[in-house]
Amino acid sequence: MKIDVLILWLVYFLILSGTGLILGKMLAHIFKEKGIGLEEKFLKLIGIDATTSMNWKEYLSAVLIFNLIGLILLQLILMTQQWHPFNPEARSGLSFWMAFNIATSFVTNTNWQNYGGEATLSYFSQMLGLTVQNFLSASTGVAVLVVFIRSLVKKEVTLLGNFWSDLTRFTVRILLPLSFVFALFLISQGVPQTLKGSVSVQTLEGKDLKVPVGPVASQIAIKMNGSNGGGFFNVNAAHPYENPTPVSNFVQLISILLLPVSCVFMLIFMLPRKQEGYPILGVMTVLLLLGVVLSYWAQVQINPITHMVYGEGVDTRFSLSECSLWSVATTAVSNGSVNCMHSSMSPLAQLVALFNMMTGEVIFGGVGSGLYGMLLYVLMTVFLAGLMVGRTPEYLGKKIESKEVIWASFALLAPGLFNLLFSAWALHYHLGLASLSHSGPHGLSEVLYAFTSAFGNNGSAFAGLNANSTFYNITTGFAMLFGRFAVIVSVLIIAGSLGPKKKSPIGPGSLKTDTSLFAVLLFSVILILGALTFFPVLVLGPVAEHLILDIF
Amino acid sequence: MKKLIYSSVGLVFFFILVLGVLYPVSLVYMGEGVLKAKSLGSFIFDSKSGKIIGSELIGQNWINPRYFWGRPSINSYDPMNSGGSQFAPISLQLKNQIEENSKKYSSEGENIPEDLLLSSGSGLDPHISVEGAIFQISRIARERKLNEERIRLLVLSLVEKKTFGVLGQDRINVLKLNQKLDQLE
Repeated sequence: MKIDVLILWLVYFLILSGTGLILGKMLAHIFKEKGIGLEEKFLKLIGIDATTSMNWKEYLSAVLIFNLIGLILLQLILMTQQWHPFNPEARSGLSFWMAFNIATSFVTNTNWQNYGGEATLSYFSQMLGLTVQNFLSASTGVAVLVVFIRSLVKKEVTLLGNFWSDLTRFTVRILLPLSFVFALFLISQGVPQTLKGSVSVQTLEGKDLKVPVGPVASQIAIKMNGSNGGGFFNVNAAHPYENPTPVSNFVQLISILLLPVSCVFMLIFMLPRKQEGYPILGVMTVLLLLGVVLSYWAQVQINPITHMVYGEGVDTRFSLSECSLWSVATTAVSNGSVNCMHSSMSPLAQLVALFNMMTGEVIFGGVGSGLYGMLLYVLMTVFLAGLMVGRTPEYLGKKIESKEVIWASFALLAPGLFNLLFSAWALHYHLGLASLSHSGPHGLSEVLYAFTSAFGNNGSAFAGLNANSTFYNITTGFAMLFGRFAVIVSVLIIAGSLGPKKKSPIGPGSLKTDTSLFAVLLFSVILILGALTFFPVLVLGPVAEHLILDIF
Repeated sequence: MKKLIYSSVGLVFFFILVLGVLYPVSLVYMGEGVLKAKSLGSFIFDSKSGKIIGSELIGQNWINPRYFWGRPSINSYDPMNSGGSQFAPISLQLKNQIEENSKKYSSEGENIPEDLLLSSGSGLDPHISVEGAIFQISRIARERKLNEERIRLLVLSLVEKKTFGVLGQDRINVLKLNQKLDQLE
């Protein structure tokens, strides 16, 4: 291994833990704070009650209605963009199902792109539509996470907080300032930020070209910070206007994991005993590092068929190690942006990306959503450990009973089950097969990757698949909605059930959840539940592809 | 229920105003005020006519043998249609494409640098590797009837190094190189 790769990783993870720690502390402070802040006063002015604490049902209704209205509005914006201002290229309105797919994609924090932004969308749609939902979907994730944590750490509470307040505080105090500074940095690297239309160019060879520009930096900043991943351009962070330099690449790499890591530190600071959070942090870190090392090792091999490096789909300004690090980070976190083409990566690097998403994206995971997914795994682990020793399982002093276990199993298993069913359906249906660009194992991977990405709310793709067909627009659209809201509903039901429970004191018979033994258990449960579900199909896809290479 | 809907609609519109209009538009003003050239797209102007000849960041489909050529692009460097080939490592298409790409350089010798055969991710890669540029020097020298050493010096003077010795790869911007190349004559 080259020394510069080790330096890259070391600096990367040092910066991440440092900034994550600081931001995590700020987050914990923001959500702990009692009393009425500026946000609540302002919301009161426009007639929104942001001070009355809600029970789980009210909170859930607020989350769902807020997101539904965001969804409808975004759909309308996309379908009527020909009438809007900020449309210098005169883009026309989108068809219903195409707009449906984009709207669900951005409201669910997936940011799957069935469109090429530069050729399809107006600046109005990008700014007032996509950029806004990039912020709000990330904030929704954090709000749900915070409610879950409150129900775990507080005793006998039915009122779990106010959605409007949680949402606004996170958006205004964290996301907006962070994205603003980040956008300025991106402009300094060469990311355009303008409202002017595309620029006419006459090349030295005398050809006429039109180069699309636009308000790119403002959207890329929140795309990276909010674990969104939906680019301004078709090819996402591989596009030189989205990611112009090695420095912009490195800083964007940090921003992929920054807030997800901060969320874990926030949990640690909100827990009565910090040690309870260490197994979670430890398991996430180990899973991430395993992926980083395996993916890098696979990516720097020589392709035995072409006798070349895996450089197809990699721009010259990025190195192969940055390409594999990005692919691991973006799939561990539900970011989904790409700086090189995942479809052309080494088969084992493809496997790591798929595996990360298949765990339910809990290796730090999406902003908010990753940690609430991980906490579901924690509840399952506590339950399984309780079964083994024959005691009532408890986590943080709260009894885990059948209701919690049922909903946690549903949230952890249902997306995976439907993912396999949808993939199997697409592979047997001519409309599903029509979009494939490869036959054999990679064709299977293309479909599997699409539904895994949609159910996991990731948004990256093996883009050989033509995803803008009515079949995929509808199926992946519903997959994204299910993958997002089935989990959110389950989490809030569990929070509503855990909140009112007493906290029993830790006795000699309690299962300790702050030990390395518990971390090992948690690690095993993630592997068993998350990965073994998909073992057969992974063997048919990327593993088969790897073995085919070995023949040569 | 009514209250929930009212609050949701109110908050969505408030955020559209703040995040969808104020946030990007203020950045447009700050960007164009402080970093105008970059904010507008890093365009390069012809030193004589003052016309825009391209963007520093957007690669072009060079075909004239008098110029350095860029990397293969699956979309022939169409700026409105960015994207990579998506070919799987085991796919025959990848193998065929590499063979097709190598024909272009068949008269220029063996051991063609790999980046001149593998297509970029963006389809708009503005750079080639240093080896990729050096490989093409003899053709350029022949076509332009220039001394190879002069071109080599020009190439080496335009190398963009890895940042901090760790980030990215050594590379050369093709448009900047070709612009300087025209000025050599």
